[in-house]
Amino acid sequence: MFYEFLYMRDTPQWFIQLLIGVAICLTARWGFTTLVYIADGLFIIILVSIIFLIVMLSGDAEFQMMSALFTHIDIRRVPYNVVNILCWIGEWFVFLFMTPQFSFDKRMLRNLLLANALVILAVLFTWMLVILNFGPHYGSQLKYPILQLIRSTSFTGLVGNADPIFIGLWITSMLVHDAFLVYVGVSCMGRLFKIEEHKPLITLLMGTVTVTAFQYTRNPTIYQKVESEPGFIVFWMIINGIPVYYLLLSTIRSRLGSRKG
Amino acid sequence: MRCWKRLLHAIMCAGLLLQTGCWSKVEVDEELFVLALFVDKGEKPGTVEVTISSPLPNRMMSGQPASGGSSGKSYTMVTRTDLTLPDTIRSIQKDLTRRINFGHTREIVVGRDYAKDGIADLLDWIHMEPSLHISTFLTTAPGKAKEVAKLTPVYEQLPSEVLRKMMMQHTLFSTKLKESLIARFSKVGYATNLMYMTEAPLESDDDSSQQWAGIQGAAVYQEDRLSGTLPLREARALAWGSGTLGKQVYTVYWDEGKSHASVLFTSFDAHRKVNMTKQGPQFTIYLQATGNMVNRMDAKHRNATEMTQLVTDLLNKKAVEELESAINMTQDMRADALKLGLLLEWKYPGYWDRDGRQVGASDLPWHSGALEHLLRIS
Repeated sequence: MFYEFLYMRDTPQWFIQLLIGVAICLTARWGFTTLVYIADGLFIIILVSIIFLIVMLSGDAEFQMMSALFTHIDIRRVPYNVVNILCWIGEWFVFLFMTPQFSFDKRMLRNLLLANALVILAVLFTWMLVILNFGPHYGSQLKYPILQLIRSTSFTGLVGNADPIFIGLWITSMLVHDAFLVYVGVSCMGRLFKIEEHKPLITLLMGTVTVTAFQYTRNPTIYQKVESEPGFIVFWMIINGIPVYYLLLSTIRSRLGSRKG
Repeated sequence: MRCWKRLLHAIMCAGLLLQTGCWSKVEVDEELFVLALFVDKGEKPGTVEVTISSPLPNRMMSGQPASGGSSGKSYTMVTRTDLTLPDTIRSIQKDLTRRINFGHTREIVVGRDYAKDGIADLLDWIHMEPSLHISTFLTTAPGKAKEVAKLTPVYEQLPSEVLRKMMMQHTLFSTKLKESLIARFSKVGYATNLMYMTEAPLESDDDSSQQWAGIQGAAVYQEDRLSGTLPLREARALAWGSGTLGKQVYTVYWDEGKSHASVLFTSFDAHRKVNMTKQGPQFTIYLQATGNMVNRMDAKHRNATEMTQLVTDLLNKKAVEELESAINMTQDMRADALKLGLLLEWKYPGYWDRDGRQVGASDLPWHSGALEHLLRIS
């Protein structure tokens, strides 16, 4: 939505959603292995661009503000804020739905751990730079702070004019992310309805998702509500946690079973 | 059959891809790039007057001088007045043949009266307008901003180029909109350059009198209102304290004016710290500079080491004096130009919430601390 508003104001919403929907659909149809290869290739580019961003933007940052991170801690608000953010960043939880399909050895677990640590550091540093550059009061007024951060560097510099490149990279990673989500959804659907063929399911799911997105753009206020109301957030958290319940139940069952037997 | 299917897919993809330009095609010829914006108080109370300055590409030819001449100027200004900023922009747009594009706006000049009433409306509009970069420079005009727009560009082609390059020289301040937006929401102050306009005969234009713009000092804001102005000396010290000062020459006199030395400082640094004492918060400002001596006249012909020491001591005193004077003046204006309130908020949020915000950090005691100068005698 923001890309369209900033750069392509006259293009209708449905067309952009159609484009993105078709792109995600095609990416998901290629299968999980292809997805992993795509992510692998993008990784270096995205890592280099994140490092570049962090280095360029730490010039203007007010590092004295870091002491405020400690003086402003309010323990009572921490659980509420954690749950709020978890709903956004915790989308990676859906990976748990896929775990039965893979065999895990030590190397894979170690790589996963490193990848997660890297993601945590990258996200943390980027958002720290946002707050160090803009301060909490102005920063909270911005709808797209990272975009403004990039655009606020000087006109003559490379970074200030290059914001479409960063947006392009971001959209590519978003495509891979969404394709992965679709793939997970489709494997669950396949197992549920005992359908072997994944491809028509992908088209079906993507079609539903695109139409839902289109409905939301016609009613932006409802979308805002969905993003922030606690009821919805708890709902997403419960859905995301389904594999964990299975794990708990199976542990309990096996314990009870071993006691009986 | 397979190749037909592939062909069909390819045509569909191509069709989708080619349609991307259908709706949002933007021709450069149909856009009017606003390079500078000048905002004034309108004649009727409650109105705002906006002047836009944009180049005329059809009159710009390389190698031709821009001002005067039979071919006419290669830039123009359009002025309109209306109740709010967006309304004024719209009323400018309705009389133009091209679409206004703010993507290249580099400079916003506010008139003094408009700034005294508060530029909150301007800042809100900037916040909402997505194509305006927040790295645009902000300056204050001595009277009406429209008058600054009438300056004659001598070394550059367009007046907005003149203003932009002046800001980039880092003579005093190079305030960006980002700074004023942050100050507005965080309830502190900031300072911008204060321009001045004179009429002077210019050699390059047949001795006819032309308008010349320059910087005369600093305009100090608190949140979104202009609180007051500082003369050049104090403005320089304030710029040093904010860390935005570029190259400067400082001259010191001693032996009752018989000896003097000038030092060109090439790099400036400033750090601010706050400490809580029983009487309240105490701010310490550290200033540092590195420079080379460019001129000296010593009546007593001292040797180099003695000179360096003497000149360093005198410079220390001078810098402290100027900064003290600047801070006293900003305190009288009740403006927190060095953003000391933010330091309080970060380190002592309880105090800031209780007392600081009402007081505005400008009545709080402070003292200016150690100064170090490193001199290299050349």
